[in-house]
Order: sequence, then C-alpha cells, then structure tokens
Amino acid sequence: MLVTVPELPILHESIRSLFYHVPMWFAMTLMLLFSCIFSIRYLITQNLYDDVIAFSSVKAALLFGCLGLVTGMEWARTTWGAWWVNDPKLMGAAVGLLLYFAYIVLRGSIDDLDRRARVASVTGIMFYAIFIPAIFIVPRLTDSLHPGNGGNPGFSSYDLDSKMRLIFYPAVIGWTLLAGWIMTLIARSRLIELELLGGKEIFYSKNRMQKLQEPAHV
Amino acid sequence: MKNNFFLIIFCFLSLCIQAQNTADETAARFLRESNSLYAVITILVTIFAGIILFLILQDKKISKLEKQLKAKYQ
Repeated sequence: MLVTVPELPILHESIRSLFYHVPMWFAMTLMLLFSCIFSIRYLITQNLYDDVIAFSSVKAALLFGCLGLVTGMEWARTTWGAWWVNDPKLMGAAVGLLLYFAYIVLRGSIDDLDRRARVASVTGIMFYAIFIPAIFIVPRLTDSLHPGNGGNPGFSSYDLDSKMRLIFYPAVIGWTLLAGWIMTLIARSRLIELELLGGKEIFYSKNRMQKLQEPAHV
Repeated sequence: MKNNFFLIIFCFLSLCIQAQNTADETAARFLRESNSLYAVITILVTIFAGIILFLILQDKKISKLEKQLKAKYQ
C-alpha cells in the first residue's frame, strides 16, 4: 500500500488498487477452477464430500467476485469516469456472476441430495466453460478498457515496476489463500450440517439409499 | 491512567507537528489534487465490509448448527 508507485496519467495514486482489485479476480478464478475439478470428481466418485467442496468453492468465488466487481466499479469511477461502462470484460464478469448465482438457485431448488449434486456438478462444469472464455478470451478479441485487452498493453508490460511486483505477487498469494480458507469454512459447516442429517454414511451414495428412504430436505 | 492518557495524546500531537514540518509539499499537493487515493480507500473499505458481512452470515449459520447439535444430543 505504501510502496512508491510509478506516476501515470489518469491512474495517479489509484494504481495502488491493483493490490486489491486484481487479486480478488485471481482468487475467484482459482476457486471456480477448484469447483470445476471437484464437480468432475463428484461425477467420478459419487461422494457427496466432493460436491460440498465444489459448492463451497462457488460460494467463496461469488464472495470474491462480487467484491471484485464492486471494487472495479469504484476504481472505474475515478479512472474511466463512470461507475459502469459497457466494456466486454465487465459484461462477461457480470454475466458470469449471474450464471453462478443461477447455479446456487438451481441447487437450492432440488431436494433430492443425489440428483441435486449431479445436476449441480454438470452445470458447474458447463458454467466454468462459459465463464472463463467470457472474461479472459472475449475481451482480448474485441475492444476493452482493461489493460491487456483489445490491443491495450497490460499493466505488466510497462506499468508494473519491480517495486509493485514485490507487493502484487504476495498480495495475490495472500488473497488466494484467504479465499481458500473461506471456502474450507463454508465447506466444514456444510459437512457438519450433512452429518447431522444422516451420520457419516450420508456421504456415500449406496449407504444413503439404504438409510434415507425418502428425499431429504436440507 | 490520566497521566497515560495525556502521554498518548501529546505523543500524537508531536507527530502531527513533525509531519507538517517535514511534509514534502509537492507530494501532498499531488495527492490533494488527484483525489485518486480516495478510490483506493473506498476499495479497501468495500473489501473489509464484504468480508465482515460474510463473517456475520457464517456466524449465524454456525449458531444454527450449534442449536441443531444441542437438539440432537440432549
């Protein structure tokens, strides 16, 4: 925060936001990658534990995604002059976040544990496949105000000097670890909830079928 | 207690006086004119508020779980 920064037009001191705004998206993307991996794992293992991790990662990712969006808006207000511009990257991020909100709603709307986990896993993988191109590839193909997109050079090419790197990379690691920790908190409370519902056997599909005759309402 | 209070107050006072004497004028003017550091502060406050909000929600959820546990084992 208090490191010396290069003096640039328009950005001025607000370049320090780089240490907060950008790691939010790093953390979110990593959490979504986690979610995608564990969704695939659920489809293989049919163990509810994997599904819980996938769901918790999406929740943590949404927290960081919303923070990233709001901080981005605040940064845009001072540098681009408006809270919201119809920039492809912003639209991609907004659509992606809405997709993942839809994922949460979809999950909540299914009562049967197995079917919910299966549908959520499939949609989770699909949304990941939509989301990543929407925020990383499409803005590069068209015009974007973001650095590094649409012919604009990235921060890394000339703005990000060695002193900023010294803060930026640890900041990325730190925020990502924080996101991981938040994910484990959500997952642990969810695991306790499930265990209260049906004991340890609930995580394995076969046992659950024997134990719970009717769909569980969680 | 009272002595400590005044001690702390005077410490901070002395800091202010020093800062005003030694402040780099050009840097201070640059900050005031550009206003852009406020964006960074808003961003910091937003992130802080977001994480606190998350913690409050999580706290509520854990309280609910504790109640369920109590109901189950007592």
